Amino acid sequence: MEIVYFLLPMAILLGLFFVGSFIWAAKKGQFDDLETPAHRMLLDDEKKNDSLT
Amino acid sequence: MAFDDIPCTHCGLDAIVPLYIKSADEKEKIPFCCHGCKTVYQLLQHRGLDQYYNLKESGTSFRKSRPVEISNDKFSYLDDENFYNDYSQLERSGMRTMEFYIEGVHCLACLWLVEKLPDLIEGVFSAKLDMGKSIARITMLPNAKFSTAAAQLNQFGYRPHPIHKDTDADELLKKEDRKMLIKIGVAAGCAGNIMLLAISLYSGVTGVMRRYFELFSLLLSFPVLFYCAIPFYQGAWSAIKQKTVSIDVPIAFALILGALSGIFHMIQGEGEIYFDTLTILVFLLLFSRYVLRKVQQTSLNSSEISNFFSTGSVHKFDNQTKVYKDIHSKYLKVEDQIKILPGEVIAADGIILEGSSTFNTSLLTGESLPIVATPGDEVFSGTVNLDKEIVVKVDAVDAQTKLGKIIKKLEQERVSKAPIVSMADYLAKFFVVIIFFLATAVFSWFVFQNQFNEGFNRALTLIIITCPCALGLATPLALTRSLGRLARNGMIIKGEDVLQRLSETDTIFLDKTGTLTHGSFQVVSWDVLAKEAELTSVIYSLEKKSSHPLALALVRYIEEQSVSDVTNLEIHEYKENLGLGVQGIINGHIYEVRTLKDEDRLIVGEVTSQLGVYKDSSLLVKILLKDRVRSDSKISLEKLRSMNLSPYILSGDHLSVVEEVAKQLGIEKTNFEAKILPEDKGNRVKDFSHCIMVGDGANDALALSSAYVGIAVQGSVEVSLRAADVYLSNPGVSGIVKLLDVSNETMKVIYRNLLFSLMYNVLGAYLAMNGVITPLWAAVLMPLSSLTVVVSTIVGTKSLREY
Repeated sequence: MEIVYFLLPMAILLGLFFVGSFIWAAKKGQFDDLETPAHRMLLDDEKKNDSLT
Repeated sequence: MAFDDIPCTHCGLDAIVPLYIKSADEKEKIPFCCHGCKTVYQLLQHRGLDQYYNLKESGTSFRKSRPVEISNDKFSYLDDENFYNDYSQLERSGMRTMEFYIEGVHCLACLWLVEKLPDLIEGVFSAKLDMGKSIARITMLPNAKFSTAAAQLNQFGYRPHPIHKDTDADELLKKEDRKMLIKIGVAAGCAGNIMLLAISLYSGVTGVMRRYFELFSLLLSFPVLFYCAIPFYQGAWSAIKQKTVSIDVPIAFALILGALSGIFHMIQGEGEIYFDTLTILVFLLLFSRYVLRKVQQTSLNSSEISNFFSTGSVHKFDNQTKVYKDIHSKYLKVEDQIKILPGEVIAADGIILEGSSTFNTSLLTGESLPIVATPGDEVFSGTVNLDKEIVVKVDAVDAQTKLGKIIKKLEQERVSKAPIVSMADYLAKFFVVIIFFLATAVFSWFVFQNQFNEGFNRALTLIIITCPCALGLATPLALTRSLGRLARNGMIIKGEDVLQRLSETDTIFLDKTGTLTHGSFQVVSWDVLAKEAELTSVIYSLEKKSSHPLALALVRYIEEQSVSDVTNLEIHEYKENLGLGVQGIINGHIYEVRTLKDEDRLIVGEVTSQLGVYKDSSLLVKILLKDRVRSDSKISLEKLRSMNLSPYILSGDHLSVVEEVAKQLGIEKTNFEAKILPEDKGNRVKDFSHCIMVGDGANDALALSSAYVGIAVQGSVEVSLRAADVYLSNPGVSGIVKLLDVSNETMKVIYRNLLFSLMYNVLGAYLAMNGVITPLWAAVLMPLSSLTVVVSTIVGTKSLREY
């Protein structure tokens, strides 16, 4: 089970990576408006040109 | 007659007197509740945007819907150079961005429509809507005019108000928000991982591996204890410096003590570590505070409000170009010459140079009937010009105007409003002292008996299990939930102590015009003495040309009654007689619609406005108009009485008008006052310590600020919004009943939460002092008390669940 000694720091590093991404996203303002994207995603993209469908 | 409530095709609310138009295939009638909604519907059809209605069906409503109110604002002041540079931000490639607060956005379809702006208006690069704050960020191409975008939004029924990007304050707020969010994220990340590690520790891992896991738990707790928990240390320190105790003190204490004992045990090689509990504690508390903060941000703070609602456009005479240019009112100076068109709000105090007209002064004085003013007379900022164009020389702007002075006065009063101590802080003080005393007592007792370890353990258990995280959560959670609910219902609360204040009130002062009554005239009776063909068309044609409130009321009435057989007739020699009425020659006869001549008057008093339609000087129709009491006023007042609130009416209007309204609503002679001045309203309110003031005009502002709780209703002037603690965006008094209900119930939930956490803590303290539980158990049980509080808040009370 000694592998745990190695796995644990690796797992924590992975976790740190995600926390880092969260901090980066927050600083960029991704979390400033949480309400509108929830509504916006219900809108369909309008077909700009009908050549393919 | 069937009493089906027909929903308006556009806004979905009940159309009490529906307006119909024929559908495209002429087969059906399409109903609307009002002119505004009908106009927007036709516009959307015309522009091929009727997908709006499909989206409305499919999306959920974010806010309550309201009928459309289309204003006649022109937005050319947005293009004035000073304004353009001041209010908009330069982006890369020369584009400019301006933010607008827009009224009326409430669902997915609205979002779609607003963000479609780039496709509809040339020059708009992007339009992004923040639904929570109702703020639209519009980016225009270089040299494109914001007025076009603003005008289009207005046409759709979303009235835009430009916001000044106070970059410093805004950026600061944003940064603070983000910092808090980051702290929460870090705390969550670390706490989660520590808890995973704790699983193995609880499962009984031993030896070197145990040390290893403990070490990592410790390391992961550092970011939380040294970074995320800083707000608690700061709060505790500032409380201690002031020789008082706040809720932060026991929390900080528990954190420090828990961390130290954990480290101590690690060094010793035996004993428990508490990092999982401590970090989760920090996370929960930070999270609940953040959510509360966010909810409060959907309400408007004082400085933002002034930007949203200040009257924008002013026509200023430019001495160099010798024409009138549109500028924003904030750039106006004394001695400037301005032109004020009918229907516009006057932006500054001044003397009339040219033109005579009538003015609606109700927002400033509360009078419901317009007053006449001629060259040489003074006019005031905040009043509305009704009939004719006038030219005014400005003699006071901003803070020096009558309105401005009222604002200034209330800002001074504002500061003296005593903050009330929140329940939780009050209990916390009490609590902490007792626990500290008990912990010291237990510790000393055992040390005395030479059992240092046992003493330390019991004291530690005591402190951990009584850590008032539940106490710290009780109030914010309940408040957050209620404030959020209220915001969805169009009620905006400024400040967390407002709900508590509301539950303590015993008197309520109500303004009359606009609050208890509709604030606009409505036709009460239409007496046809001599029938004539096309008579309605005659009246309609004559009244359509005037912007006097009585004329508007007549036009509205006719439009709501019959759509098909009224036509706009040709009028010769149209004349408007100020303060009397209108007249013109139609089909060879002189028709007048004017106040009833003395000989024809009914003896009703000043309460109603009496108009007569004369053909060649003989009376054909008698029309009575009145500012009608809202249908929900009486019931609401009764409900308020049943809540032990005594209602009073304060009004700036004439005694006879107020008397009648009071009689209708069942208010005794001693409980109403008429012709009251703004300063006196304030004084009257000050006599009562626990009162609510409800109003909308500038004449209510002082009272709103002096009252224990001030409520501004829909249609309020900027001044009132600044002075009030609550803003109800739906008209009428029924909202107040709801608000009070929610406050009372919320306080119940808060007390219940506090009770739970107290019971929990008392039980825990007992067990801890008697050594029944170890610090380990304490660490596990503590989050449980928080959970109880959370569940209790979500469950709420029966009536709260209905909102």
